[in-house]
Amino acid sequence: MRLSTDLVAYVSDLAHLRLNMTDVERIANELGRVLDYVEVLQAVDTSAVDATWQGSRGPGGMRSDEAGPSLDPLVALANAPAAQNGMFRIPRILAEGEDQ
Amino acid sequence: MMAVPDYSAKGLADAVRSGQVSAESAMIGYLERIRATEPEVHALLAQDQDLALSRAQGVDRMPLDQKSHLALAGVPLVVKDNIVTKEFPTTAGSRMLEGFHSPYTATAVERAEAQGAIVLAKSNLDEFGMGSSTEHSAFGPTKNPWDLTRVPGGSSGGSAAAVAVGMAPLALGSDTGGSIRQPAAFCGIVGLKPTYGRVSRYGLIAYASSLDQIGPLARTVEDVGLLLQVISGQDVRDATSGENPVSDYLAELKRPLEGLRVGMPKEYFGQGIDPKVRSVVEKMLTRLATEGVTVIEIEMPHTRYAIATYYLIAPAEASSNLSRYDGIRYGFRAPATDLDSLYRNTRAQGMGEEVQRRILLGTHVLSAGYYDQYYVKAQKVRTLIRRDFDEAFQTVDLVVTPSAPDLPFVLGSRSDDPMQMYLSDICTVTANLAGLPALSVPAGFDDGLPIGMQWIGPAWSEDLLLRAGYMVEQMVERPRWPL
Repeated sequence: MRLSTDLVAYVSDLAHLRLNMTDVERIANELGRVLDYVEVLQAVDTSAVDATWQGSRGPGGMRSDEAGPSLDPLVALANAPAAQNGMFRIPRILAEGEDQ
Repeated sequence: MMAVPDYSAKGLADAVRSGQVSAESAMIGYLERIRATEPEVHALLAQDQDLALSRAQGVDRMPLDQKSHLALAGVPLVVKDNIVTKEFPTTAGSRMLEGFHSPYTATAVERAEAQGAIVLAKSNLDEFGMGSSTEHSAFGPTKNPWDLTRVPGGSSGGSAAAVAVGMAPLALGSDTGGSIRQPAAFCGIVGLKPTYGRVSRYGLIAYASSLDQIGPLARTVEDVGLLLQVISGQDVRDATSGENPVSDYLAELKRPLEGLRVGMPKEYFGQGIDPKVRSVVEKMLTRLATEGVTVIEIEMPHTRYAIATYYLIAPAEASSNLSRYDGIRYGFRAPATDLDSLYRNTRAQGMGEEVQRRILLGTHVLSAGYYDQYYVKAQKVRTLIRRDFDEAFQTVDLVVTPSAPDLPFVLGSRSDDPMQMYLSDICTVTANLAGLPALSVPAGFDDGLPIGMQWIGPAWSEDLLLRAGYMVEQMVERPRWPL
């Protein structure tokens, strides 16, 4: 099964990945091969089986819900590609005049 | 070439504690070993020789009563570069995190350091842990020290190669589908994936959170037990860390396992397994049988669905976990004039092909219309794979399989075929899906290349796995050093 290029474009949009047409073609083939392979699962009768959602094999523990120190804002910003006035800086999201 | 610092971690810590060896002189030996071998092997992404030396001097200066309590006094440790460290950059093998400095250190590293271990380097890996050869690192592949034309396995290939060649006696890796055990096997060393929840994941860069575990790699089973002892135990910063008490893994290590019943699942010894691998593992089982171990052929019928199950669940979790790389808070940012393009360009330019492939696969199987067909189905089959193990452990104590279906393969030979690469995880993914501990220990060599055997046990049975591994270790002749 080869995925349609429309479907790959749709999925890359959901995943926030900009792909060019060559990538879309390649990925349509590659994902198609993986999805062909995983078809084997459809033969397994799971009608009476519960899903396993998590990895734990035993009890974890909940800690008490007490406020503790947080990351200092300057430390948190230290890795930011762009920061200003103690905040992360991003490209403008409102058009001129829209932010009035 | 200069002599390799020939200590076990246990031996070195004992010698440093008693003052027979200074941590500084040992460290100098390891740093020279790195200078001699790293240009050929490329196991490391970051190192800080000055820091390592000053830490070693610090251990030497400690008052005796303080030093004598340190289980890892002065022992050099390599840390996989998807485990965050305050003093080293952490890239996870990705351009996306190039230059990233974590504001905190992972619990497992913190615990090792508190016992006197000294981090001397961060090691190479497949980008974000996604791969089985270390070829998917954005910073170039690591080479297998036993044959530099071959892969060291992955994703913890840098950690495994570093230990195999003697850059450090201990390393930390992470294992989502075999990423500690398969490179340990390919590099002729010992690696353990603990029970899910045994070791805190705090500070491990998330790939697939229900499968990821941090674990130790070392040249001997005893050293693996020593490091496991130090890093195990509940952590308030990881809600999935378990409250089960941590056993003394070294106390009973050398006591022979009398009456051990070992299950040999035929599904792991059939099609797809290299006959050379099969033969080495089977020979070892025959030898164990003469030592009083009972080997029982068992069936684990859902094994054949494991790769399909894993390659639905892991990418699904990855697609969610990796959504955090958006170019806003840390890491790489691509130029863009609007926010939406900033996200899309940053992620497309910052992440490698394999990572993008898994994100897209994961996004697809979680998307409306496909969720039940793929993701929920895989989580149900996961239950059946767990049940196979639960049933096996009704009749046997441990299960034995090869650690990998084949010998270390030639660099570049599988990089164009993702599906072929995925199949190399066939022996290891089941333990992650079932949340169980599993140990890879060298079982022999074929034509100079190491072959590993895997022991899988019930949850929290690390002590038993280590004892079984120790028994195997005593029976294997291996060359001392590859380079």
